Amino acid sequence: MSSGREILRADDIVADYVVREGLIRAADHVTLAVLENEVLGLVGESGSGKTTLIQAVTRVGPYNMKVKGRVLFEGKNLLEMEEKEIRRIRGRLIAQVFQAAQNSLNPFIRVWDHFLETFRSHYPDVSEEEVRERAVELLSRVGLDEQVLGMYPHQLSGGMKQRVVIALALLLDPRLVFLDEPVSALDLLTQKQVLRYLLELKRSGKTTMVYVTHDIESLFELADRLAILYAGVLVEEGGTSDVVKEPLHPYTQGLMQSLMTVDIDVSKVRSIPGSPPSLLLHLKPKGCPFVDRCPHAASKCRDVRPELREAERGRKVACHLYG
Amino acid sequence: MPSLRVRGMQPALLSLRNINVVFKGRGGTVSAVRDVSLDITPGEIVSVVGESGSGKTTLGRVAALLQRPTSGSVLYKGLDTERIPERDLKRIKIRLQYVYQDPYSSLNPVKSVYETLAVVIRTHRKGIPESEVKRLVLDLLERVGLTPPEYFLNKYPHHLSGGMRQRLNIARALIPDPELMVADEPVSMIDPSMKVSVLDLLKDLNATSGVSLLYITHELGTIRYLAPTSKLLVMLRGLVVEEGVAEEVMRKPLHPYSLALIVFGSAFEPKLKSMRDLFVKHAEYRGTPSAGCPFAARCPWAREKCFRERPPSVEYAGRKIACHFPGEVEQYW
Repeated sequence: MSSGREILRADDIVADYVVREGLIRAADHVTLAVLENEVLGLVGESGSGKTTLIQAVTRVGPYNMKVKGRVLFEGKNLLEMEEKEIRRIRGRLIAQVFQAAQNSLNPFIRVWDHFLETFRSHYPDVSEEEVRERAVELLSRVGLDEQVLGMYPHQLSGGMKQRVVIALALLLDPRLVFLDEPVSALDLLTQKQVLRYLLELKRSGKTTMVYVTHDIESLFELADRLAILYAGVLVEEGGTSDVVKEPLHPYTQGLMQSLMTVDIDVSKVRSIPGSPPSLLLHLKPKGCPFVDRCPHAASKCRDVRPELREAERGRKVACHLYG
Repeated sequence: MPSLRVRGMQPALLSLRNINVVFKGRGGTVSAVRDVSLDITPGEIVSVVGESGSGKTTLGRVAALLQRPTSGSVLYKGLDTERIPERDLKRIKIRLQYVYQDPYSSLNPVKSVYETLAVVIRTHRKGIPESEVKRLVLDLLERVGLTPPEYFLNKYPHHLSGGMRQRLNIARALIPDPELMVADEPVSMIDPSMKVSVLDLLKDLNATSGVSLLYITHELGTIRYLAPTSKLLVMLRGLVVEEGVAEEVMRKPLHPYSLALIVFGSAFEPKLKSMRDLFVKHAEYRGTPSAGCPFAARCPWAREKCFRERPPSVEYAGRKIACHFPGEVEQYW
């Protein structure tokens, strides 16, 4: 369970991509805290800025991405740090698992060498025995046998590779792990299996995870809290079961109604009309980004951007319907 | 075999008979489709569910006459397509359209919406005056819900969302007045909030223009929405492991793999948790048995025979099931 202590705090993050047509604002004044030992689910559709947000926070975005705001981690602002300093944090204190991460393994070296190389890049003097001991322990936590260390990536299935990558991310005992769509490239059964191991890691109570996905239903069991992004704006934040059972923001409500799992009442399935707005700064709605698709839109929604405010205890929403 | 005669008046638009597709590669051969038979009548929706590597796309390509089977035959309105002269076959192929999964790579990025459609119209109707082309384009855009159509004419693919692009792909497929549309994962790359409306469009086109649909997906839930009464084929490693009416299969799966797809395709039912755990426990990759049932290695109820012998497809309780112990899952569901 989370201690409630903030481990990372993103303050008023603005991330713009400089393109020919102008500026694409993919993170639009996002303020969000990650609490110790929690799994925070960051949910959004394509173009909602979820990947941008974590790239901005960890400073791994492309060269044309400009980031403003403040990211507090262990009392320091990551955005003002020297490149040398942040490199020491990335991989050691903050780890990342990317979508199709199985492709981030080097096909020419064995799994063991991945572990050794990762460890030594931060601790050059570590002994092989120490690395091996740690690697074996981590592999077992994701359900993999020690034998995997002697294998090449092509000898592993997709699910096994993804679990190797997760074990690698945990190697240096990071305070915080970002997982960006870690299972979307896998088969259904394999997805659920990897999710199950993540759930067990969470239950072991030592890992803080930010899990980014467009599949809100994959987070029902895993995430403690959900943060919903729409067109670069954080529109809702709260405990998973609250958000799922009683979504507050009209976008989250629409999203929940559009799910087509096997066990829903199909007569209640609805699409959200229209599509998301352009993220180009000069085309983006001045007020609420959801205004053009919202069944409750009023004139105020068009002119004034609603702030993310506490609606109930532990729940925040950015919508004029709630005061 | 539920062939054309069983369905009475309606002769099958397309009959696939004992289709096998084998691909030869460096590492040996892969049987992508193994002994699959399927009838599609005019106006019918047939659904295929399976994961990657199940052979569902290859089957769809065979149905659209884009892939020649290694063995087996494809009948078009009762005629063996291998015996139809090339010129006639070309005309038939045009009316069997394929809508691809990826709406991002299936459109030419430097062609406007108008050009994307106009090029195809001009190809199909040689010498058609440009004013008529424009009228047809506007009409198509209206039909697929890209409205107001004038607004979209000069847009380029990068201006469109995934859902809009897929509508454009569907509009393009409608130009030759297709008899069959193979929709291969048409919504799997589309954002959740817009998936429903693309499925609504397909449903609508099927109802109003009578185009048959072969709907291919890995998301069982979308079949429940699109075509609950359709014939459903559950595919695994090239084999059809269960075949029946979609909503019946989902209510009462008889093959353990169908059950797995239902359990994992559900998100709200807390009762399924122990069932999920059971499958996850058995999900550890242990290779694919080459001789036995393709699900044996991941099946919680597999016995020795399942690893040794491939189960034949048998009629069971009004379905076709390829399982040595059909109906054993009934007591768990």
